[in-house]
Amino acid sequence: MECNLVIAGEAGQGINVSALNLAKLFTRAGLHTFLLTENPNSIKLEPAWCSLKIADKPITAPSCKADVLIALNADAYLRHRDRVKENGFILCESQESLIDPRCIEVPFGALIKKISAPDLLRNTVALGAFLTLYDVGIEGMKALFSETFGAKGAKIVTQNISALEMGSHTIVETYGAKIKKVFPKEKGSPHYLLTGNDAVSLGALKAGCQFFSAYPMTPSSPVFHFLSAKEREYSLVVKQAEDEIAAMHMALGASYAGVRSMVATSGGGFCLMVEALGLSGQSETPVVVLLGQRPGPSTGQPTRTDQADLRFALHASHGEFPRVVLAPGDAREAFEETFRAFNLAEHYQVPVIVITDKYLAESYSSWEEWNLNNMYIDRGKVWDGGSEEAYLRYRVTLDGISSRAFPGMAGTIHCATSYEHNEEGFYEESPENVKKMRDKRSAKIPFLLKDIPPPRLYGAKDADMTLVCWGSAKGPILEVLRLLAQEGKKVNMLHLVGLSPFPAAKVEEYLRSAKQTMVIEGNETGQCRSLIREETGILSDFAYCQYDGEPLYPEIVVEEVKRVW
Amino acid sequence: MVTKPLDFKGNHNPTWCLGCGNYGILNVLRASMSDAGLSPERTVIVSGIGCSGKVPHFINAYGFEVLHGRTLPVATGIRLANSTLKVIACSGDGDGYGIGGNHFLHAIRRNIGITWIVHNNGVYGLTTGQTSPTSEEGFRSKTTPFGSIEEPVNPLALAIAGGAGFVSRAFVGESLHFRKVLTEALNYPGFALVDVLQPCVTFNKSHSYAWYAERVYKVESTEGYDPFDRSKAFAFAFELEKLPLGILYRRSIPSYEEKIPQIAENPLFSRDISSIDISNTLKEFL
Repeated sequence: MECNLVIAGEAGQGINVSALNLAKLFTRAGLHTFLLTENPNSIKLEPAWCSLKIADKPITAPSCKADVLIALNADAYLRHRDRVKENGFILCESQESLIDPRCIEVPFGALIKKISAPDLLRNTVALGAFLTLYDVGIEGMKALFSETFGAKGAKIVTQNISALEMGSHTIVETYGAKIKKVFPKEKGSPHYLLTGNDAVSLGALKAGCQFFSAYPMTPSSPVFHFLSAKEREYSLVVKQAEDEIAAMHMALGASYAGVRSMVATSGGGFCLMVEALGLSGQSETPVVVLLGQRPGPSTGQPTRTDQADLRFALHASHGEFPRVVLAPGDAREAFEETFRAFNLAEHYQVPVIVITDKYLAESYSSWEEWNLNNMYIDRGKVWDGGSEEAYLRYRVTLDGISSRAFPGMAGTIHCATSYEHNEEGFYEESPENVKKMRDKRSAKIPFLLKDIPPPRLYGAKDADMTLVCWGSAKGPILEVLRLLAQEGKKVNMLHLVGLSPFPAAKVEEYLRSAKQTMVIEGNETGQCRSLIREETGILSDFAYCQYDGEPLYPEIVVEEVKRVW
Repeated sequence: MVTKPLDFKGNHNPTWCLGCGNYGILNVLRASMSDAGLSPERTVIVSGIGCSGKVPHFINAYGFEVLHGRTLPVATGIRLANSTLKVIACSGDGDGYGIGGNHFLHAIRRNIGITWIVHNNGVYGLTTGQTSPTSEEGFRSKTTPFGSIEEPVNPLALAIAGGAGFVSRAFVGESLHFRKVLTEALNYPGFALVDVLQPCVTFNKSHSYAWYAERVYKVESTEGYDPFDRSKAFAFAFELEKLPLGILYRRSIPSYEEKIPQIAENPLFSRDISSIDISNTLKEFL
């Protein structure tokens, strides 16, 4: 069982709220859901839509096809009618669309007027119609309205319930006999419903992040909002800085003083953070950076998705220093990798960049209960005064990691610095010292390689084609494997999460044993493909690069794979 | 805590030009740290880049020599992480009023507990003599060979207008007076600006010790001096012929840290993060 619903209209019509309420309703009923939201770069009027997939099996990606379209205005009908399947339904009010046999007329505007509710409630009428069309009933949604709108007052709840009933009656009266029954009624196990941003926030809380500073930027702002709301409960300090330059430097200050700290931004904000990324590298001050990608350069497309900042994350800043780059593939990995990021940052005293993108950051997915056991905090080497030797902030060690000490501690007074320095932290330019200290910092890399998540192979080892991807492409490509398997094709997937330091040996091993390879990623220049070539000498046989601001839709990728193979 | 100025002497000796105003600032800073009863272990000096940026290496206290212009955000992060520490930031005029100008405005409105010393010599010294935000109009330098056509920034007026709680100016040639002003600043719980006039003997020949000495006077010796009077403070700040020294303006306002309940009693630094329970928050997603 699978149902794809698209709700389309314009920004400010409450589409996201309605879709999220539906996702909650079905998730609570034990079904799996995936909600993709597409918003314009405006608060009102411009076209907005979202796509909700509901299924009785785990979902890894949205679909570009729809079983049902709710078109809240005529423009939405025109924009989205082509994605509706032949046997699908379109709930709309436009008279013009009545020549389309898939259309079911629901006069949203007229019904809203009947109950003297604000026009904003069109989408609630549509919900009532949809839930009745699919014979889900509207009682569950009524209860959910009390929960979601309760804080806004009883009137809002009552109006929404009336609108819901209006939509439902319309379908019963005009369409009663044909009501479709597709959703299983039995109650399943409880699921979480959350976005990649939610998962990052939870990972940061679990990791003991105590200082978070940022400047608002889509698509990472929801992490900022979430942590701000939890500031007092979790005793962390969240600060809106005057710009990203300040945000990143504040985080480094807090980290220097001994507190786990994080910043969150998108490419444009990361541009401003880059000088401080170098400061983190030179002064060996840990910090976690959430880089939520959106299409650039410059302002680009603020509300769309892209995977074009991989090279930027890998190379940002002048000079050379070890850094960690992690690209989680889904919400669960976003939680785990954010947690891991804090441990790696403090253990290795390096900056750690967690890369998401609008698609992963803002899409909701449902998950069975998460096991939080075996998540341990590793704060790395902190001076305990036990040694006979004097404290040196940048003491050369086998693994390149020196003990940290924090202001307030006795016997460890030192100066951390942005200059090249000696073990003490004093500026020293002798060639011997410079090389020694640079070698000291890069000595961490072989150890880091053992601690970053390795590339992971999904599917049969002996497949005829290996699809290689990184970060958020994981879910869509998993669905591609499933769709191609239905056609009898043996395909597997190699997914990269840890990208710096690059796990070259492991990637090479997988690729050498693959029959054919195709790298699939959301950028124009094949950034991951060229990285693999650079690190392993292997150029994939094929590539598919998507760079149109849209997520990777499995159906489209399947066609691309079949085009070359 | 009882400390002597010598307790704050660092392991390294300065390498500034002979006669540089930074020597005087360094000595006064050590003396005022002692006067204010600071402890080396509980004090952090954050500096930017420039000749002033080297200060933490010459002082026995924790230090963080950061990037050009970024002393204030780093100092802010340190204070928020551990509000039991004394945090002093040292910037130059280019560092603080030029590249870091935005941070200056926002540190003021936060009134966070940082003592900010601006080594103001009206020129970029370490980069070998370019015009600075406080260079006077007509100032000739490598980047303004025909004379600067920009008016200098007025940091004191900006600070007063921005709502700063403590705005002061000192002259390195008046070290006893400077020491008193700086000690007051160190004792102020919020954001305290100490703009220090200092000659750059190598790259700003027009502003010598003698040039400053002829022009400075102390505000506290003027009739009707009242540092809590904002309009009087503005009048001082806009005096350009003579250079008023002292605490131009102060007001009693709560510090930033006092307004953050999470750190009002214990600093973030003291928290145990080894096993944080997020199960209640996870339930919000069911």
